[in-house]
Amino acid sequence: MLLSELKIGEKAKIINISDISGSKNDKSDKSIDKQRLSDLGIIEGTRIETLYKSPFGNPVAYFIRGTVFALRNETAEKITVEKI
Amino acid sequence: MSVKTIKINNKNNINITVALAGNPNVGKSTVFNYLTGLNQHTGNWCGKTVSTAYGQYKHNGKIYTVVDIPGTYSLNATSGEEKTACDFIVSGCPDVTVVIADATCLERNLNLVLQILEVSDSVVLCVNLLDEAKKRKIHIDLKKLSELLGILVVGTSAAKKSGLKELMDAITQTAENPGIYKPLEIMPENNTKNFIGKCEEIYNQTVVCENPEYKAKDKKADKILTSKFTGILIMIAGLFGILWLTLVGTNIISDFLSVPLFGAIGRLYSFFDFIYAPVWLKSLIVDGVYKTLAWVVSVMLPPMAVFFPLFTLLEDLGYLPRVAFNLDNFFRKADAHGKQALTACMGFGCNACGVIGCRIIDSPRERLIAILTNNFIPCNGRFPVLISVTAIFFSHGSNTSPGSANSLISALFLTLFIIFSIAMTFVVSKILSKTILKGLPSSFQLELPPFRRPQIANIIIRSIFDRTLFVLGRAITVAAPAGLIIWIMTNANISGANLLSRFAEFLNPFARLMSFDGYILLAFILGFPANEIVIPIILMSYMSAQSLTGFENLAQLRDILINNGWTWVTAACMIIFTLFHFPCGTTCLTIKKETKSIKWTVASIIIPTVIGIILCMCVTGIANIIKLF
Repeated sequence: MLLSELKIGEKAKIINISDISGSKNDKSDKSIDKQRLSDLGIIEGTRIETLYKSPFGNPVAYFIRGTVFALRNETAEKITVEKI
Repeated sequence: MSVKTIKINNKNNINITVALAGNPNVGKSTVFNYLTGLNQHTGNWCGKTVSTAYGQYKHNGKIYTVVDIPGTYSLNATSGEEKTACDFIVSGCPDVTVVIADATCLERNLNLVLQILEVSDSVVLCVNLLDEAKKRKIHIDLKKLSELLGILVVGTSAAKKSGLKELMDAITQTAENPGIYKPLEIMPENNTKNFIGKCEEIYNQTVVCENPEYKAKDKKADKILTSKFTGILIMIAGLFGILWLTLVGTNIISDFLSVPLFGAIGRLYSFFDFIYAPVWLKSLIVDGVYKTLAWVVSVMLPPMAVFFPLFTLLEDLGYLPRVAFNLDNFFRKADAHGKQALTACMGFGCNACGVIGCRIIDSPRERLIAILTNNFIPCNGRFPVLISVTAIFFSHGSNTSPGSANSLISALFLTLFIIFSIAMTFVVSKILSKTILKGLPSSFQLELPPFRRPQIANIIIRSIFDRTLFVLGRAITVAAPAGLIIWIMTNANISGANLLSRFAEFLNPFARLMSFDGYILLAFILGFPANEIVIPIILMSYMSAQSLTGFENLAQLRDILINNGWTWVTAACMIIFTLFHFPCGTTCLTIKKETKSIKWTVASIIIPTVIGIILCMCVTGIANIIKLF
């Protein structure tokens, strides 16, 4: 399942992060964004918990390695997880 | 300080350079403040370190120069601020690099530690916020950590000043014995995954966390602050509260300041009479320079003295990232970056600062949008205009004393104006994304740091010294020559009329379309160096025939304005144009510096000005139609 499909309070393990592209025209952004996520410790195998949604449902706050990070749904859709 | 100067200091061998690195939100600036005391230079009052700050301290007879570099998650620099950090450490300038880590989320912080160990041998790890960690039942084996990493590790609770002496000792020891610490080497293939694997390994060996869940109290607070109903409501209520307190506080401080400031005028006159100064000189200095200065101080200082501490308090609490979280939906829909909410917040203090703050946005397209729209948020220099005009024309009275209904109505109007300017930011951002800055939003990650107990004394010192006096000083340096020029303009006669009225007459036909008179428009143009002097210039122009006695109360101001033909339409247009017009001189220079482009600087001037003129003309047109019926 995708990280964006995870419900509030559910925990999961990241299985795969596909190339995240911000702008479709600019290919150079792709690897940078994946790099950014891994700099924050978001890689394959990382445990992640959905904490709460923002007032309009996007972005969503996640608990990752002791820290709370907000990710937009567009990013969460690129992350495949396995519920635990 | 440039890298070059630090190198020169090193040659003399008396100065040891220490770089402070770390993830954002780990209390890096707190450590910096306690190490250097007031012996520092910070060009930085945005709540986030975006440019390098430096300071000095003395320990065991040696001088240490501490360089506080912007917070970064990694050395793989992608954004401007992180590049600064990366360049500084990699170029090998610092004698010692201190990495500050957050004890409550050490695992993530270790990634940067390992990366820095790759490029530098003289590293000290400072595990900060130990008190916080203890509260959450996180136990860290610092000795084991030191063994595994091969460097000195010190535990601190900077906010409580504990462990800082040990930190200084560790820095000295590392600086004086280069090469004796053999930092751990990672594997030959240095990719991020290896680093994170190693982090996990070290973390598991050194940290025992009794309850690895997110802190329940923070979770509860966050749920309230970010839920659909209460989240938005609290945000608006908070804005209203701050504006109301600013309004009420302004009134009190203003009374306190204006009496001595304007009381001195009589004494200054007698002083000039006493030294037999020529009448023109007396008038130039007192009526021109001094009165403008007195105006700026008595009008400017009060709202800043209240607003800045309140704003710093919100920053310290960690509320601003929640605002960014709540508002991101709108920024995403405008194809802009979520962190633009943070830079917009900085704009409330000073737009030039907000523009510098845009360095936290890595995508160049989104950064430009944030820079170009920062000016839509009214800075503190524009607050006095908004406050006085609102109090006079929209709350039917000039009494803003605490608790009066008028002050509440004024605050309500101010809140509406600011919500309007924020809405305008979204609209313009969207238009920019669809036209000259086409593109889709990039992905972004926003950290929501745990709530921290604010340090009240620190807030007051920082907001008064770093912010209030800084902005006031700038306003004064601009106001003095401006007062001089206006005095000359009102006193230089060209065929019977003074220069000021000549210019005003010239501008009059156009100004009328915006419900202004020539003087108001001229005041905005002359106020280009600093918005703070717009109202003083208008008053000086109106009063050039009479003598300007002083700013005793709003009732007096109201009489002056109404006698010069102001109506509520003029007031409405005044507020619109104050919100939407060209950025001040300092902001323009900053935009030029940050974008390195004259084209974008010109765009940042034209976009808000055109919007302001069109809106004012619409309001004038509507008001005229209403009058017909």
